[in-house]
Amino acid sequence: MSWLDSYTHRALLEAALVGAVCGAMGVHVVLRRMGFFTMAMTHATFPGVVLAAVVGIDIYLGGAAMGVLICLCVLAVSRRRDQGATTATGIVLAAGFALGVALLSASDGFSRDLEAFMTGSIVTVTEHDLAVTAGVGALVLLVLAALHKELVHGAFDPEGQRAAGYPVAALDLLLLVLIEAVIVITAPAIGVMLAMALIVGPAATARLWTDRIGITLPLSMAIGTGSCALGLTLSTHWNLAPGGTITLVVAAVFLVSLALSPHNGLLRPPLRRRAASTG
Amino acid sequence: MTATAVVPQPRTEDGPPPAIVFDHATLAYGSATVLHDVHGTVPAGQATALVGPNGAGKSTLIKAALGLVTVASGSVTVRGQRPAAARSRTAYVPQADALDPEFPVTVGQVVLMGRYRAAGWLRRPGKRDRAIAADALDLVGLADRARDRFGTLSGGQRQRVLLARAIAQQADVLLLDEPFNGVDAVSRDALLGALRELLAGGAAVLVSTHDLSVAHILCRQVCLLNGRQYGFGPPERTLTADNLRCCYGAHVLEVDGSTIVAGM
Repeated sequence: MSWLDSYTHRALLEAALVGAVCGAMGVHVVLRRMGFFTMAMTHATFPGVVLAAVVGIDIYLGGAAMGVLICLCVLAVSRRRDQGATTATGIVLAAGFALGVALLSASDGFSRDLEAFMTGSIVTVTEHDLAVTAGVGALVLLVLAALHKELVHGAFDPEGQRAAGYPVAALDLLLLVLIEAVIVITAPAIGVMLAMALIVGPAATARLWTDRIGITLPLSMAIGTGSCALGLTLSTHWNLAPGGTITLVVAAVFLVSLALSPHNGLLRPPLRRRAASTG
Repeated sequence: MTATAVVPQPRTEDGPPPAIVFDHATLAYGSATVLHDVHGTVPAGQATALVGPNGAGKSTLIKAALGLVTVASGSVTVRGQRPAAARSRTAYVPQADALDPEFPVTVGQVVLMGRYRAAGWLRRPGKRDRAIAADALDLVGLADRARDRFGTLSGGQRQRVLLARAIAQQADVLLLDEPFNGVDAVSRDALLGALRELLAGGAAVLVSTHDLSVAHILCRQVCLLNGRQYGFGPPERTLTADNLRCCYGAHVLEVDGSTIVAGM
């Protein structure tokens, strides 16, 4: 009997994989301050999934395609001088979600599958889901590692990177596609709606503890994996929804770090705080 | 009020080769024209100052030399090539204020970014790249700050780090956007010293500045701009009271025979 035959083992492995990939992706999202944009992408994935379910194609592919399409719309709208990126993102976020709800109400009978996609159902993860997560996740990590210096350069100084002759727009687009891929593989575990927490949370937590990207990256991956494993264990123990429990653990780890971290902690000794503010 | 346009210096046969040539260049963002009819030459081994009020088009002219702005008419050439094709020979120094001070990157890492293009895609900068970056940081007098986070440095020091990054690129055309803005005296001197060494090494420097004294002490040429060119040539011929009054409007004062631009 294979280790993977147990659904708890499959769920644990899926949670660990998703946590690590989200942790790595999240570092770039946080560095570029794209948290809000990522939330819009998760919401934009929703109508794509509903549409795919109605038409009868693979809901992951449908969600990803719609997500990327809507991101391109946001980019196009935000490039107009009279529209800020935040305004455009907010409108797309609301419109995408509304479209999903409207489509959903017009199509009874698909709601069970769709609900699983929206809030996650990690205990029903199949070996096929695991293979997809592992394959896509490995590819995302590989691209992030290969283009690490270019992605960090562009996050820090996009104008300087353009001046140095880099294809900045292509790199930005690639990053959007990677984020969308991560959202879609995270969906079976904790759902697209909560994916944003798992992408941004561990990375933001890691940033509280260190100022070095070289440390932020593995730390964020470790926090992501740990939070997912802990959340899953707690959810089975107390019979709670796994997606929600994992997200609550991510949020709790962030809040505790906010209170205790050496750089920004609220509880650090008053003497050290004064020394830091004058030095 | 009539503006007396200064004719650009004719290039002599034995003069330094031109690094950047603006040939009646009119520059635009999309369909909006920003700068009309710039005509002049930035020679190698010399510094040229871009002077003009805010919104005059100084940054636009620098972006044109990088090939990031539409040339609506006329032409811009860098080292005899299209600007976009010459980017491996140009280095751009942005304003330090434009960069996120919270970004988790060290001073040494910022300077090393100047070697990324030379190192190439998919490859980490090697030992030689690190040595070049360290030398560049030393040239601006901040070798001892390499391990500090970029955002912990003062504005002037951050500007010096960005100049070190450009030096690490080993380019022979340097384009600097307002590097002396809000910079303390120590950093100002360090920037001027490093730029002088680069000029002695044969680099061409195009630097935008509000500080007319920088134009006088560093630059052999000044390009006076405000939507169009009000002069392109030696400072004593371009930074005249008449030209400045035309370019800046009423904000020009004359005190003890020297011209001062006030209220900008």
